[in-house]
Amino acid sequence: MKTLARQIVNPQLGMDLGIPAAPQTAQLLENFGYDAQTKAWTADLGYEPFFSNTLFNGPFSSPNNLNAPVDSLYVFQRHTSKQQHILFECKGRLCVLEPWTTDNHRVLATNRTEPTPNGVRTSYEAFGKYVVITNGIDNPIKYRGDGRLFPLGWAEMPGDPTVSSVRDPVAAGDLTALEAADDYVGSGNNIWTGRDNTFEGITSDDSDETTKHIYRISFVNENGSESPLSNDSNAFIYSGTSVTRNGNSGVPKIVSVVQIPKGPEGTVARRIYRTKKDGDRSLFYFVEQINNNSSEQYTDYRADSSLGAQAPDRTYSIPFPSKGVRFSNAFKNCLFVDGGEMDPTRLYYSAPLEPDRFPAFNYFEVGTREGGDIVGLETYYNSLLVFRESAIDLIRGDAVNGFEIVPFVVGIGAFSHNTIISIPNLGVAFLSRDGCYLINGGLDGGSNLTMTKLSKNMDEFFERLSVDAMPAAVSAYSAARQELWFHLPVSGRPGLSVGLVFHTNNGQWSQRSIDWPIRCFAVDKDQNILFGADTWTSGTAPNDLITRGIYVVSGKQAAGTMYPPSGDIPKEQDPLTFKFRSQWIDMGLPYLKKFPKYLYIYGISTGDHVVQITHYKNRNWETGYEGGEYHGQIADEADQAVYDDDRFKWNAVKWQDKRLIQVRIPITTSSVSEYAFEAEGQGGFHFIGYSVEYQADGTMTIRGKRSD
Amino acid sequence: MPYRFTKSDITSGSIVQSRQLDNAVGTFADVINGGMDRDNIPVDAIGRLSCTDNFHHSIKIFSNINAPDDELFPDQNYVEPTPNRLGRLMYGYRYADDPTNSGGGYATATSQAAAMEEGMLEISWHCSEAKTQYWSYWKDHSSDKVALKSVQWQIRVDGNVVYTGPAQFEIMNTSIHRCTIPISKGTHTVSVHWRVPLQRDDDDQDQVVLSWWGGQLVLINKYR
Repeated sequence: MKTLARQIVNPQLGMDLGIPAAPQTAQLLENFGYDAQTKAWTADLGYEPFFSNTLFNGPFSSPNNLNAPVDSLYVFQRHTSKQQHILFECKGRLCVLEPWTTDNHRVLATNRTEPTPNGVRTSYEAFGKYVVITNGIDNPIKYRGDGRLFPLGWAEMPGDPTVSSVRDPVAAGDLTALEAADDYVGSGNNIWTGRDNTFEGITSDDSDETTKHIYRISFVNENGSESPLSNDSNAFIYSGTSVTRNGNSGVPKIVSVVQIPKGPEGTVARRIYRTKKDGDRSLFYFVEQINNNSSEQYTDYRADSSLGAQAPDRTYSIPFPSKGVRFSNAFKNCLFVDGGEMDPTRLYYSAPLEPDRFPAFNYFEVGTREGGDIVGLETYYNSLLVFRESAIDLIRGDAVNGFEIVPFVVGIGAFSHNTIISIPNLGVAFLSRDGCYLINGGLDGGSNLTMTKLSKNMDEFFERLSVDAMPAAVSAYSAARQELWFHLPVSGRPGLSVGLVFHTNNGQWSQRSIDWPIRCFAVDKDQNILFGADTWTSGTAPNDLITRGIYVVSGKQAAGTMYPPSGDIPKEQDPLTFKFRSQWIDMGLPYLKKFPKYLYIYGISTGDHVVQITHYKNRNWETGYEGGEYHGQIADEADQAVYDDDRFKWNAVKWQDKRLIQVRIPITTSSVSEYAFEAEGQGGFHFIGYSVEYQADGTMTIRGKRSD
Repeated sequence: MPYRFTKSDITSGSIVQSRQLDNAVGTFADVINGGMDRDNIPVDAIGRLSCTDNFHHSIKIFSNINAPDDELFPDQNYVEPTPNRLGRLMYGYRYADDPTNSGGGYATATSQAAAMEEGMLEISWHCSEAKTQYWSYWKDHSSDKVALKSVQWQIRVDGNVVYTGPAQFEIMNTSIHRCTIPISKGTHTVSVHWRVPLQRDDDDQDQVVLSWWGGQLVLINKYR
């Protein structure tokens, strides 16, 4: 007697491209999200323009010179996220969105380098109240919100201060140009002897003693970072001489007048240092801090005994060592920056809490060991992970006790900093040549730092990567969606074309179709995934599809917008097409022919959305067997009320409960060795699992083909 | 800074749960209830006209405020033992009595409470005041001092000083003081205070230092 048997797949797991693969997995899960509440895959994914009520998606129009792909995107949050600064680059312009203004944006910088299609995207790294912006070519900058853009680090040392020279006075009291100081002090006998408590005078009151002073200057910016010291000023040399005036004699002490340079943008103060009267160039002392960046002249009246602490030495602060910095990372209050293309194995770090001051010896050279160039940095736990092309190093310690670099692993590396990303509760995920890896744990408190491969059974996908374009790959993690998104170049294409998603709720993979025009990612404070479009279309007939500017991944049942608009509101595109392909299943009987009868799909009722089912057999995706179109309704009951349907007029509230459904679908494949099916549609599919009912009557697999 | 996007898109043919609709609407209602800021309000959304249309004044006037009779005493130098040859009789505050008490401190002229809306409060106080007309520094045939004195006015709101006027030396004048402060919604107490200079060792105790009368306190609350 023929008996019915059943192969059950519940819950449905994510993609597995291995052969053979567990029946619970899928060959393809495209454009699905995962709902942890119902443990189901949901096809309710779409994207909408950031500006839904403007024709050009906000500022992305030709008049604004933003008619180009969005090259980078970052959401900078300040004041407990009360302020969100959405920064982006487009057509060589660095801008910030200002939706409340007429132009919807503000241009912060122009003539910036546009990345090549396979080039690394601009790096944004928050450091305190700043976001550090670097791309390896343009001058590194930092942004503080409200249009305040400053250079990162001190590009060069300050110009030399110049001291006005002074001639020696003659005995008759015909004093020098500095007599003005005498009048100012008004010492009574018209000879300034420097006994005023405030205006002391810098020279000696001993007759015939020659004094020599040399000055240096430094700049200070708003975060307290002090620039390198300038070179020495000219020497101020003066010989004490007794003068007589109005019948009084004395040796006047005089002041010096120093011409001081102004600092670069962002300078808020200047510090003046000088030698004592012996002119010893090895010892400079603090004279005064001038809390402005406007005055050009300083009058120095401090006696040697009133000088402050010794000046920092030349190693205390140096000109920014990495003009071509590609990426940065904040770790233990220090800003770590790479050495750029020309110095790719060097890692510099700033003084703690002073992101612009780089002491001379604050660097690591990783090029002494195998592993290639540095490609990314990521802070994790108690370490800074230094990703290289084929190695990962760790920086440990702190600025007080000193940092140290230790190797972690050799043989595995990353492509770019844009695909290195922290995931809460899991660790740091990154893309390598053969897959996605996860680093978790630590080296402190008895923990172990471990690395595991997240993308097991996805090797076939990673074999398709366009390796040379991988530096352009981008990633984002959304805690709201519990999804880690990668957007990758595959199949030899230079641009990003396919998305790969890791669902942290169930630890499974799915992918995105090629319909997503993603060039760069960002995540906002509400954990919405934002992306910059990889193209710009005019959006007029006959170019129906509108793609430009910044988009948001949301529950919108549309793939962006299209022509024609209704007033200023662009028309919504059709929803994304989802596609599910089950794993090939042999019912555990590879040696028998099976006769599958019915496919039962377990899901949640969604309404009248159409799901097209196609059956396949024997690993042949070429020939499909029509399975019919189905709705997410219960088969043997009256339809649940749905929105916008004449059968269910809205003169009464028709709230419904989502219900578990089993949809039975006849299978038309006849006998199979292996069976799979495909479900395709546009939205409205809430999929938990399935079962296949089949018969096996003992028909064996036929004899293999002989070669003789 | 809230940017909200579609959480749940209810399209034709969908089964709709009430919770699903709540979630879809709630994400935007949330912005309106708690997250309105500059990002939600387009530029020039609030113009001059809308401000003017909704601008309110609430005016309260407290008139005929006078120094209490039981705080005023005659100037004994004019009435005793020999009447003043100018025939004037001066009543007012003396150093020896309450509330002057040797001067230097502020005494309350009036205290008025009024309900207010959040906005600005303009406080205006004016009264007539007189300081006795002594032209000499010394009282006749004595070492007591009877010189012309001064008065200073102060305005407080809920006990906090919001205005202090300069010392005024005119013999008789109308004293006008005005200030405008931000004010919160609720009932606030506005009080007016005066002060005469501190008495010196040998100041005459019979001298009237100050008299004031006919005070008017005007409170104008401006709000939207």
